[in-house]
Amino acid sequence: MIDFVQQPQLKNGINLMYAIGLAVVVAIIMVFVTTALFYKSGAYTTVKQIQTANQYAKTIDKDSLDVTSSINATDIEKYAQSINSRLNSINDNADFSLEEITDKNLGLY
Amino acid sequence: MLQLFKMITRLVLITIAVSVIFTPLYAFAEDNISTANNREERLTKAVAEQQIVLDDATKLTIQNRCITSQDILKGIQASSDLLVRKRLDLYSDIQKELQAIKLRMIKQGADASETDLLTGKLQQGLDNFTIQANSQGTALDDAIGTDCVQKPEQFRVALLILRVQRVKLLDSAANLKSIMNNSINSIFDQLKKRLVI
Repeated sequence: MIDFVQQPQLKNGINLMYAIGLAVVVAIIMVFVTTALFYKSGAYTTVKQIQTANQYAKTIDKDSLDVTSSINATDIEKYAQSINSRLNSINDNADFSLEEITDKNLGLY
Repeated sequence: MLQLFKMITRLVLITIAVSVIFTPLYAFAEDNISTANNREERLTKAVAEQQIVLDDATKLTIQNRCITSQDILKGIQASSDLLVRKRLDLYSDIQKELQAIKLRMIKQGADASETDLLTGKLQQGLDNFTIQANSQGTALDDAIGTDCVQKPEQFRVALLILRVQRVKLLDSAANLKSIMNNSINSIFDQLKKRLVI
């Protein structure tokens, strides 16, 4: 096919369209690499966690919570202790034990 | 004119290439959730996949004792449901309390953004725990509901699946607890410091 219009050339003889094309390809690769790095980074995990928390915050009924009274360090300390005791009250290994569903315990052995 | 046509063609090709690169993969992802809700179909498939073949003695043992096993499994199902509910309630309550603490601190002009991180982590953990609890529930239903006298292979494979699901549920529950244990001191220490100042 014959080009009836001369292709635009840069001073050093490089075709302008190829230069633009190359720049676009390099830009796409850079965007792709940085996006991949971001998705694999801890920053993305943190962003997702905060996003999840914000979505959760929209769903809760704030009327059922005390959100107005003042709070101090002692309250936080007591709350941390209460969480510890509540967590200690559950025993995952015992509650979801495999032992419970062995052939022996199911009377099959 | 030809030059203009070439330029437009190149631009269109570049646009198509960019669109293909940035189109989310999940748009084409197949739905992995099995549509085989039918227990019979699910267990038959599992027997074939796991290549379950029982010798006559094992078959006879299962046929003779499996009704009792299913009764025991019913009890386990009831207790397991309660234990799952207990955890969902506990961690949901903690999330609400964290939210309340955050709002109370904000009202006093103190930052409590760390609680968002913990709430998010907990929510992700709870989502996973709920999925695993549902899977274990389905496995228990299969083990209890299958005709174990007529189809001992299906009962055997249902038990195998149940054990796998049980391990996953335990991991998920342990993950929730470790999220709290790992965060509790670091987050609350930060909050306390801000409230002391």
